[in-house]
Amino acid sequence: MIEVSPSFYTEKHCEVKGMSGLTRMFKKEWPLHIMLLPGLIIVLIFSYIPMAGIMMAFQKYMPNKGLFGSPFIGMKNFRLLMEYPDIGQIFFNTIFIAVMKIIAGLIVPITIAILLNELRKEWVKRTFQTLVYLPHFLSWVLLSGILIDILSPSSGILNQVLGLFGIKPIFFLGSNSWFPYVMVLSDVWKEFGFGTIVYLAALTNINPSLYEAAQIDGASRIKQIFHITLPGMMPIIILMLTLSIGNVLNAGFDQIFNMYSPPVYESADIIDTFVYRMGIQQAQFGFATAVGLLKSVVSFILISCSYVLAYRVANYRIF
Amino acid sequence: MKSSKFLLSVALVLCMALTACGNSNNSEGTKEAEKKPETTQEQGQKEDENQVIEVSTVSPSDPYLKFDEGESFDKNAVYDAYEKDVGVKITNKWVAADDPQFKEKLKMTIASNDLPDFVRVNATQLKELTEADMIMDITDVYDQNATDETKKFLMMDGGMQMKTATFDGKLMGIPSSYNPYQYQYLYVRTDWLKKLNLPEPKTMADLLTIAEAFKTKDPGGSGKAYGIAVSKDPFNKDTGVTGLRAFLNGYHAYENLWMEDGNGGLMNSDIQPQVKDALKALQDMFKKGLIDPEFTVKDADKESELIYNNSIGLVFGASWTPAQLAKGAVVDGKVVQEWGVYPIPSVDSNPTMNQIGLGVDEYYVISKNAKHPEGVIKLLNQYIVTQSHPTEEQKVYEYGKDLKEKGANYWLLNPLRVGRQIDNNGEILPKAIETKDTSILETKDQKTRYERAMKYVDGSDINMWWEYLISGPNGAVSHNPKIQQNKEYLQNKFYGAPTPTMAERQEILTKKRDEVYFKIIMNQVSVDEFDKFVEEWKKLGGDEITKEVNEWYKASK
Repeated sequence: MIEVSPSFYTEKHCEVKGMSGLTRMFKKEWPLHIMLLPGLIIVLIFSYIPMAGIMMAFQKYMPNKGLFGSPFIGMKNFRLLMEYPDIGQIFFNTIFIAVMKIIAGLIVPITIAILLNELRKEWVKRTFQTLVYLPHFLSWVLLSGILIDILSPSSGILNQVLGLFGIKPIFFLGSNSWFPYVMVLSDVWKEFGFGTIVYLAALTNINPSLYEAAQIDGASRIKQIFHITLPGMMPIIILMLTLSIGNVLNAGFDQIFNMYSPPVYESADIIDTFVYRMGIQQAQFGFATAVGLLKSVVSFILISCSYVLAYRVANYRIF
Repeated sequence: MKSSKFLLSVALVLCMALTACGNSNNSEGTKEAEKKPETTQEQGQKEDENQVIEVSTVSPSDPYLKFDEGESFDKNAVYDAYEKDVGVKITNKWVAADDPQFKEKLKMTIASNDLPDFVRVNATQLKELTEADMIMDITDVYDQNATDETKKFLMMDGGMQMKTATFDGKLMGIPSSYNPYQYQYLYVRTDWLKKLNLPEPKTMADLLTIAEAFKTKDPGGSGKAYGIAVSKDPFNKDTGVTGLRAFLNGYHAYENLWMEDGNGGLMNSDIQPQVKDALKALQDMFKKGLIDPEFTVKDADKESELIYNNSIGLVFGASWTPAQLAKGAVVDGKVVQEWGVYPIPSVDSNPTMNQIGLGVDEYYVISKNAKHPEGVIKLLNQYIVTQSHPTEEQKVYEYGKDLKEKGANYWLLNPLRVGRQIDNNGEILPKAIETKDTSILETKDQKTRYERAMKYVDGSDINMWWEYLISGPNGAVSHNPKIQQNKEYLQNKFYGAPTPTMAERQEILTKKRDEVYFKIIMNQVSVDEFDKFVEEWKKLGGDEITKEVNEWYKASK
């Protein structure tokens, strides 16, 4: 209905230099800028203005005094966090679980996507895709109940199967050596369907003529996977990896919170569960904000690093 | 081309302007709605001859509250009754869907300094609001407007609860009181005791014998028997059934309780040597397989399934535990499990002291800006009257306009509720139910309970079995008079808002404690780990907290 001339988008406009050029450009493109405005305003209201709340990290925040009335206490909230005796363990647990989740969450969906791609029958592929995608929509509150039942040493189905092979029942959720792996496995099981769909989409972008050429040259299917499919998926893989690196300090609060217990605090207590007990239950809002800020800073640094790495190593720009 | 661009942008700007207008219209609308009560309030003031004053509050709704046709939080039989009887019109600034939401919204209300005339807050908020000078010193208002009956009602416990609401001699809130003398009991399958020819549990040794017999002989025939029911948060005071607080008490150990140290100061119960003995006993029980090894991931309801399916026949719990047991004990109108209630056995010749709280954790406070604080006290007076000795007409406060019980829970609409600080259910109910003598019943609560228990006795409703086990002869409350007379209870000596270090460190200490307690019980570490925990507890802020609590104790004496 509304026509915009193709020249409107051409590079010529961007190449114009100097103030006069900019104003000229603006004069021509102002309707586009106005169209941007609502989005800008939303970002401003919901993302930038609330950043003033970062102040809470340096305050002894009292709700009735508000953001501007609460006394400032400098770095005390951060010091409190660092003085906490188990903080090393908590950081280790967080990173350990999160890194394992990131790696497994990358390898499993890629493998499944490639395998699915090799399937000939379209309906098998679609059915499988839908089935593995389903757990993504279940909440951890629900799943934790199911998992506790499945993993129960006395009545759980898993231990009964293991029992058939003469293995003694294992209390997966009560043992420090098992708990983190149970978290990783169950998380991958829940989420790999989602990742698979992303990678399958990436696969459709690969030019079929490449495969034809490879076949003519006599490449086996395995060779095709390693020399065409994987390189073709690389940009998406790097994008997903870069985005997930920002999650190194997010080990999955709702999952762990619903399944952990005091005996496995040692291997299961992560930053988020700790902050929940400390900040929310004890109403230490300043402290909770301080930890949140710390997490954001670390995530920001990591994302920046991975962005640079992605550009240098894979010559791929995300933004 | 140009014109189409222009058209597009104009359309966009118009759209935005329109939505913006829509928004502002809406907010003006709500503002008007908010203003309305104020204007009526002013009118109310002018109509002084009618003496109708208006007070605002905020309320939680409740899933069990069912309004009569045409009634709502704005207009209902209870509010009308208050307006008619004491001349106080109640309005709500907002109504939350349930209690948890109420608490969330309340935080926002406090943070935005938008208090209604009166509101229910917790102990920490009471202190905060007092310090922030947002609530009224109601010493005089209370003194002048509270009736003698009200004053007596709130002083039944000797004034402890009123004291917790007093700062520097100023009364800052009305305690939302309840009876602090809530004990725990031991519940045992008596049919199994008979079957296995076991004695009643009088001592901890008896309890261990019974638990072991229940495990090894499996009288329920479930094939997966355990000795005693324990769930994942056993030391929490909210765990009213399948907890272990009572077990600790039997060993003269207590959960996070401030008790006298014998030198005029206070000490924390979590690090006392008696706890070690109790943990040692639990560890032994765990080793013998008397405790469900999965208790750490099972909540009370999940663990109770083992009780329902005849795997467990021993459980500690509050007086209402029978209501939980009923799920497995009464099937298709028949009692299939027989339970008995016993006082918590003791490990030695000294009687068990039941750990109890103060009976108050919430307060009604009046905003500094309230125009009619006396109206709030009038509501309080009236509530106590209608609860203690309602006339036929005053039953409206309990049941709504039909004046009879129909499961609508209209009592939830009373905006200011206080409970009896002491009840004598233990003296009255078992006797009344045994002799079928209704004349000795005193309170409304007793009458309700009596009626329910009688339905079980005369066989008209076997599902009321649980009430009989609570209130009947040999029921849970029948043990109370002895506990009360011999003062076999221990009350927390520290009350009020947490001290500064407590706010910062309590969580760390609780986490350490739970971790060590659980590992000892589950036989993952030796019981001597407890001694290390005590040292750590002191270092991690425990000593600091003890110091602060003692300073508070001296100041409050």
